[in-house]
Amino acid sequence: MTDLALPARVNPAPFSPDQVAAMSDAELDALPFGVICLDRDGKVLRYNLAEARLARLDRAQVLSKNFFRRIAPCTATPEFEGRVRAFFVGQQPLDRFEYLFDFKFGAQQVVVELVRVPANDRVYLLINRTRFEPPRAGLPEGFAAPLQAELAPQESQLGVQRDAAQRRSVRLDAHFFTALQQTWLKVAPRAWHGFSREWGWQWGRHAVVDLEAALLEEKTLTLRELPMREAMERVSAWASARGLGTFRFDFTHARDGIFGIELARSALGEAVGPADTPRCGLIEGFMEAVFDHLSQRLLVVRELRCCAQGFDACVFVVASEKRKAALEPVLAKGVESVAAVAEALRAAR
Amino acid sequence: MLPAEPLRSVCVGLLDERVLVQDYFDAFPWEPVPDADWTAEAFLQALE
Repeated sequence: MTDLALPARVNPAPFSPDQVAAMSDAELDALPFGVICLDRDGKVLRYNLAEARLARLDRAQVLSKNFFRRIAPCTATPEFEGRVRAFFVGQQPLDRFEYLFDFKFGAQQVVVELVRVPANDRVYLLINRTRFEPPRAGLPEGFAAPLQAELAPQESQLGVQRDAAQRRSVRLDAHFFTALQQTWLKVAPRAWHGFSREWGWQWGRHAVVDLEAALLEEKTLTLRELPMREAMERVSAWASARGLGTFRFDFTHARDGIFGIELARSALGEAVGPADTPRCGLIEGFMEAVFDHLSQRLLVVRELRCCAQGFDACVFVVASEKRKAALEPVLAKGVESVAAVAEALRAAR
Repeated sequence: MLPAEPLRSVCVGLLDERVLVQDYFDAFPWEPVPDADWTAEAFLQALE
């Protein structure tokens, strides 16, 4: 049997442009703005999730292609490409300018920051969208960025499916979860919960980028700038649209510094039950990532009862990560409601 | 001053169009609050 050793999560340091080159791909993918790394010839070396989502291009089809010629011909201008080339021969660590990206599905006003790396063999472009507009009329042929379908024509004949944002999508039935859990229980039974929580957390970070990108396109706002009700509805709708179930959020125990999440008809829980203990570790991790982002704090999410155990719905409690030590003994007693957690935490004080 | 007992409904009621995510979570009592210090008014003031 194998235990899973996962590093403790820490609050990420505030983003600093001079650190971007040292960031891992996973860290770049958690950023809510676009990041592109080009070599001196304009070849795309790195391309993060937010940029792919907002440009509606598949990273796999973008990497190694020439950015100015193949991916964004609208940037093959003195004002953009010329500025990047001048940056390579200059000395300043940063440059910043505004530009209008032309896509066939719309124009995007952006602020571009160029970041130099010590070896000066590549440049990082940080792309912040500030305004979304309809496609501009009268552009020269081949000026606007190509659509994903033009980068990879006839891919649908090869079994490739895409969603509205042109991300490659894979339709799976819930037995995918069943098979995955059965595999883990066979090869590393004690590691399943930790693995699924970490997997959910990474997945949740990607979902946050998607939620933020959709909101940016629609309202030029961030999730933290939305009213609570609308933000919670958007999170729930995101999950429901993917067949995961329906979320409800319960803040009635705010005075105890905790709140609850209820998931009705969890696809995961139903797929991996029946079980004696909660099974939706994936959802725990997913919601940790979502609410870490919304609250800008490290939080802990724990499932109290699960449909895999025969309950009508899965119920989770959310608390500050700093209260984890106080929370764990309470959970070990098998409490099944957020109210019971609140009471036990109060009694323990 | 708001009565203490309907606090739960106050907290639920805050989930409306008035309170932004950043304000709600910035004011959220993440650390345990002694009962005597906890009032709906304090939470509302923190949100303002």
